[in-house]
Amino acid sequence: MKALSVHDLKPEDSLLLIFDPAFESKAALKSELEPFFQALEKYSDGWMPDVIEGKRRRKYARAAIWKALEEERDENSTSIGLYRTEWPALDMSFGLWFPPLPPRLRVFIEIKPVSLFSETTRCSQFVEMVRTWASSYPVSHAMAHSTDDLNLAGSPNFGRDDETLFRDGFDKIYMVCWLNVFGPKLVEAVGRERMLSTPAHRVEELPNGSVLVVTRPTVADFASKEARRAQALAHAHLRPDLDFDTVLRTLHERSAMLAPVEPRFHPDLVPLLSRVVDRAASHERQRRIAELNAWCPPEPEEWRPAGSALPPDVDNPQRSLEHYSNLAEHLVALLHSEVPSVFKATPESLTDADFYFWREEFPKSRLREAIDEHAVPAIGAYLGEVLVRNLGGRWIPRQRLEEAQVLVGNRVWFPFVRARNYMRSRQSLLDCSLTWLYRVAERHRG
Amino acid sequence: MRAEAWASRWAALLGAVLLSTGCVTLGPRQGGGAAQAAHALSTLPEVGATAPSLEASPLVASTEADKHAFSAEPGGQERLHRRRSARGLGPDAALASAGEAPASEVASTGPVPEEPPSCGGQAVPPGWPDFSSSPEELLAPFLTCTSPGEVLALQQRVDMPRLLEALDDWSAVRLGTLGPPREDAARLLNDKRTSLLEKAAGAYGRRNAQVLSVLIVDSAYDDDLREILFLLAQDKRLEEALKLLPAFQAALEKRGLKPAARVERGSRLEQMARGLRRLGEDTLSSSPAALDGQEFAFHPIRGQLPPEYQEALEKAEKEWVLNASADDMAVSAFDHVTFGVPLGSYHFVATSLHGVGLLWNGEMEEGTREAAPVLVLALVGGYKGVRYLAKGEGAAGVRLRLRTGAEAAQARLRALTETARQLQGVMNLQGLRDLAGYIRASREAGRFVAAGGADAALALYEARGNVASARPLMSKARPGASGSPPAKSGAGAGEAAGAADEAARLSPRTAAARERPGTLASLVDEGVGHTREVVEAKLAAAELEATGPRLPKDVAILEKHRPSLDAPPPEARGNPRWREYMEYYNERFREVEQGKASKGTLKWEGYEKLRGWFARGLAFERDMVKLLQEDALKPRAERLFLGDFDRPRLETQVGVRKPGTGLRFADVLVIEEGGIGGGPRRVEAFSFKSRDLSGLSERALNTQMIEDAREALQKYGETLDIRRDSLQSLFPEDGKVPVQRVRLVYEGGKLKPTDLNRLKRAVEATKGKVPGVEVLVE
Repeated sequence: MKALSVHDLKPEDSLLLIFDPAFESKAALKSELEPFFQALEKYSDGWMPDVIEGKRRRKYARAAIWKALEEERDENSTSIGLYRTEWPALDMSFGLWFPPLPPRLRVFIEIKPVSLFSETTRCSQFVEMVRTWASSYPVSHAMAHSTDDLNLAGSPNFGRDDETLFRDGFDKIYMVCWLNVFGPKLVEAVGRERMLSTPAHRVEELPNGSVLVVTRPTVADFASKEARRAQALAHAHLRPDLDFDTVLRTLHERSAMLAPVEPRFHPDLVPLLSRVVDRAASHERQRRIAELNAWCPPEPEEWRPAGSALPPDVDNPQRSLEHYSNLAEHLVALLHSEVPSVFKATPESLTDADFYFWREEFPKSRLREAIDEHAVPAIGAYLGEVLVRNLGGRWIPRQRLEEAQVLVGNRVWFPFVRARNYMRSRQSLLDCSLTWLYRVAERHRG
Repeated sequence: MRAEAWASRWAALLGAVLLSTGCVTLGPRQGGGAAQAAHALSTLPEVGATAPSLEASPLVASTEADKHAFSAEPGGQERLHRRRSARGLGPDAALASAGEAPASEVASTGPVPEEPPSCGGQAVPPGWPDFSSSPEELLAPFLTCTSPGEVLALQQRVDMPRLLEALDDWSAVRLGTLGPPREDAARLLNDKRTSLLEKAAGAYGRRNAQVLSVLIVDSAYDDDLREILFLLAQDKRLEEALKLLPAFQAALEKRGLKPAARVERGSRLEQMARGLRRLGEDTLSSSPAALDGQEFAFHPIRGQLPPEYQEALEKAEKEWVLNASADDMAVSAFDHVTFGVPLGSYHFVATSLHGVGLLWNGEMEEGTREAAPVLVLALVGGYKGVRYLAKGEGAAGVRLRLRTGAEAAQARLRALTETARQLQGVMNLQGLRDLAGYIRASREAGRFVAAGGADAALALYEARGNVASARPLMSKARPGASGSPPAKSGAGAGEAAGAADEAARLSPRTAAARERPGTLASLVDEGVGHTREVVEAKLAAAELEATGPRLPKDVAILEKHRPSLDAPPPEARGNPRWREYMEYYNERFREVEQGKASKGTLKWEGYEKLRGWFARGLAFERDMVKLLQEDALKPRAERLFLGDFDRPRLETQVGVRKPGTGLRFADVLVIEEGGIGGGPRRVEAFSFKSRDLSGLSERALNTQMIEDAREALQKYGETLDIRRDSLQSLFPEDGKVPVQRVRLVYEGGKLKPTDLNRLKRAVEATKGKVPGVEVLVE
């Protein structure tokens, strides 16, 4: 009964709902919460939770929910998680705060992928669910929208610091989402009539004075021209101080940032860069691809023509070679659990190592001294060994590691210098990747 | 039990201190340094066994080692009486001449005194040294020195052999307690020491002679002692000295020397006759009248003895009074000196025995006291600290003022503590013991460390006592502490890899062969308070928290799975932490045996994971501390974190105690140092966490953050009992300090959730659930 995490899926956009109504339990908790779960069960076709998590994980069932909420209850709160074991992925939490905390429900839903909500029926069911909830549990503001778009829009801070955010909350209409519930305060601030005359797919006054505004029948196409126009119209209407064209332009810019970009990476670096891209947050992914399409690795400079190689200056070359081999072994020791392929010492191992160091933000997250004194020599030696083993290279030992060379074809390479340049920053891991040096050396093997 | 353990550690370190504090010099290349050391060795046949080993550092060190260790030619006897004019050289010259020390090494010895020469901030009197003046006057400038390094430097400015010749025996012995002697003066010094040993019993009585003999042993290096024994034997006085002065023999034996074996068989009868005669003299001299005369003669010396030796003497006298036949019992009294409070022999610390107590009770956190033996070494390496301190105090004249009274004691203690922390950070107690042995082994080692401070001590350790090999290592021996990357790169860096490493280290077989310090050492960074002590305490806490798979708390099962150093599982092969894991496993095993363990051992994979995160966490913490330090320096309005303070004072890794949680180290405490206008002094605590929050579900994220915040509040929030004495003066006497705010800072970057809505919800929930804690994400 393993739950499928939204983080298990490849990085792509999801639908996010935040619903935190005030809630003070006067009667039996169970009866007051029944409507919530009834609506959830009724309207969640296609993404219905099947497991719940309190102290233990249980199959979804009303009785299990009450049990879990009871188990998790502390002095002033309780919460449970609701998940799915199959695609699409769901991350839902349902919490309750009791006095002396401001009593409220805390509901969070993320459904991935957002493309699930390209169907009108599924979307309208979702709207129906939120409408029901908002009717039973009065909320000051609730919203459902693309997670990526929310993040690009600067939600939830909208330019404010955390202190202001927590103090003021969503105190004016910073953004119009696909689905919005505006509580009485916001309605009053805008003017009820104006609110009710919002140009949108659906505008509905709820019995408790809140207003439900849904911009379009579906959410998955939120970045389309029509959707952006609808979003801008509604926003400019609710915020007469904003200029429609400016709002629309901003929305189009966001759409542009999210528009799929075809990867056209440097062929030698496709295996590395595609993994780099996969690590980007979904809302940054397309921009990252565009960036890397435009980026071209600088030609490696850590070489000399074979004719001007530094002659060996050590008394005991065998000992130096053993030393390099030992150092290279250090890298294997360092990486093998995370990057098992380092045992093979192939060009692919170099790519795996490149990715590992990049992913770990190694130059930034490790002590500089440890890097300079231990990682750099180990990486340099390993790079040298890979050149020797795979390209028929030959070490030319020197007393100083930085002067040690590997002769491949008509060039001598300085692997330790490369390693030093490589470890300067996270960007230099890409600019001076081991993979890239290897490929260039391979081409000049002659 | 603890006390015993301590005692033995002290014992192991004692000699090192005394000796190394005693001496300092590097003779100029042409006549001193290695050449003379080699000569000194060559006069003593059995010394061959101690020839420097060259196993370390195949690439870098070998050339230099060869040069230093093997190119030395035996010098001539004329050295003994060679005269040399004052050279007016500073410590740089001393170092450089001693072995082509790299520039970086010279630089690391600290500021060079400009003309005119001075010591401890006091200018040397004009005209000094006037060899016709009294020994007191000749010695005086040395007595103002605040470290062996300064003593070493001052020696370079004078004709040491001539100066030594002008000193009486006792003054020479005193000089020997201040710092290592310059090599060309060493033999003369040992002559004078020998002479004092030979005549002390007759001149001052056996009891007083015993204390002098112990002081001599304590302030001499191993090579000095061999020389002294040789000289005594040559004069046919060795056996007699051993007989008359049992404390002398005991002290030598504790240093691992077997003086009795040197007594020449052939001359035995003759010696016995002589010895008996002298014993007779001594007995005679024990008559009250003679006693008074001896005491009278000893009186000025007595007042100049370091306090511990004076105390020991008093103790011996009391015993003698209580028990008329206590003649031989004096040994036990000196035992106490030798192995009890070795700090004292160093004169400037000796002036403030109360200071030692102060160190004990204050300056260091309770948990840090364990490392007290390191203080011993700090004396050796204290040079830089003292200098730094003198400089740091700023205003002109402060240094002079510092030299006297409580302030001086405080200043020295702070400097010593600092060095102690540095050393303690990078090696375990066995390592310290070994290091002590390396330093006391030779004058050359003593000089190297006196001039180079803690860095040199570590390099020496790294080179397993081989000074020649240690030189090139010196600039890199202590990662992190200097805050600057190694001056040399390339081969040097590669070779230094064994010193202390995180990323990758020697394969187990090499490591086993070399007995290098643990890899934890690489995580130490005193600049942000990450001493070894703190690192270990934090690792222990992290270990308890670790969720990886464990073996059960069952002795039988643990025994069955006990890892072996030589046979790591394939996945651990070549891993630098395998040895560390073994130590961890065995330690936990013992705890389980004693029923003290709360959890079984982590399996290897879990331990590796834990260590990875731990290292990352410390790196983050270090960055944050630096960020805060920078923030504190900004004008108040521009500060990002510390805007609520007028004058923020940052203290890292402060030991704090709260009921129920015991002693913890708060990552950073910020304390208002400015005016507090009657209200309580503002105090905030920072706690830093590297935790991967990126893959958590919404609920798990909330739960985790709330849990971390609660823990931070519980450990560092509300009301603290601050254990650091240097801070306690800022607060009411009971040490109870209200903390206005606790800030929990998470590492950002790839560790933070990509969706800010999710993150801010968790932060808000935490704010609600755990008031008093503010959560920040980098």
